[in-house]
Amino acid sequence: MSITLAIKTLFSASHSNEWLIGRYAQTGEKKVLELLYDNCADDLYHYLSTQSDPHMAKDICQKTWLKVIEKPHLYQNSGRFSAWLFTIARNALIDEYRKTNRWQPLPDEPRQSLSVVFDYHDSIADKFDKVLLSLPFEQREAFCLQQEGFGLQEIADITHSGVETAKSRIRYAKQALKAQLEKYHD
Amino acid sequence: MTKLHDDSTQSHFETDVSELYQQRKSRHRATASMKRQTLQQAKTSSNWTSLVGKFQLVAIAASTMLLFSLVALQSYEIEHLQPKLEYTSVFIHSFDDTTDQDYSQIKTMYQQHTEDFVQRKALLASHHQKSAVLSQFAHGWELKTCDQELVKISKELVDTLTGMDLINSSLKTGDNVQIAFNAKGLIVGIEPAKNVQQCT
Repeated sequence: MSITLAIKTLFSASHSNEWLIGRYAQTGEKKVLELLYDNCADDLYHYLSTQSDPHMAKDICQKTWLKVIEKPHLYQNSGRFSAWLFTIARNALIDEYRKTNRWQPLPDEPRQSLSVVFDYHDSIADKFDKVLLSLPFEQREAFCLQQEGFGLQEIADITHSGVETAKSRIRYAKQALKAQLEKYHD
Repeated sequence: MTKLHDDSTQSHFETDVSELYQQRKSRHRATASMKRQTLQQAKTSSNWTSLVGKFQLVAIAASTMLLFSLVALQSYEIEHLQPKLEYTSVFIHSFDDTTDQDYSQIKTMYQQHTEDFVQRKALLASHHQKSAVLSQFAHGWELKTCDQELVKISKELVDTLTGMDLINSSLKTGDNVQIAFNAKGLIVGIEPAKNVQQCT
């Protein structure tokens, strides 16, 4: 078992996600898909669950991976595989919101009245969660994508916005987080 | 969190936020059932894709065989099933006596048509010779055209035309007149010429 794991680790370490998706597009090997899934599934699910709820996140994850499975050839070697994956997921999420009339894009300005109520026994992690989830959709999204390691251009591409807009959203999100968490500290 | 308290240490804030974010991620991971379902989908999709691929191969093979069969059948038909040609001999017959008879008839008809043509040509020429100089005589009128042709009109015809008011009664010898012909070349009227005839 340990040998298998070692081989698996060696295999996954020696090949990027971009190589893996190219390989999967050519061969359709289940093993390759599994490696891709292991590399990206947690990041994707966390992003989606932060932007929606666990049930919808699970649903959108399935749809996203299904698209990867069915149309891996649609990935162009112009960027990172994860950026393509998140773009598919984000589009599916927005579609789902629109279908259920829950899509209400908010202005990019910082929310002045952002106020989170903390419980006495809340840990710092709980408070971080509460503040993060209280952020406007776009700001929360930009912040999460940055934390996932995407650059400004990639964030702009995934969210179909401009680089400056993405930058502003991240700044507002961090300002809000800082303000709320400092208040908690006080 | 004490580091967050210091505004001047922005990088510390960034680090702390990233740590909190990673902690949150570790609490929200994709479940094993999700992975199982995804891989199951891949298997189903793979099966379906391979099925479609096999179907495509079978379809290509079948169509190729059909094409070869059609070509072979056509070749066989060309070689063996050509329709037999049937020949009919036609002998050229010689001219008999009736030919001479036909020839004389054709000759007669040709002469008749030639005469008709000459007459019609003369009629057409006379039809166009409308202008003439009038000479009156006791037995009738004579109309002399520019090309020295003479059209004689009997007294009876003059009287008839006069009676029908087709001839101007004031005409006299030496007058320039206009002769009107009908389509058949018959004189249907004689009137004084509006313009004096200028024969060249």
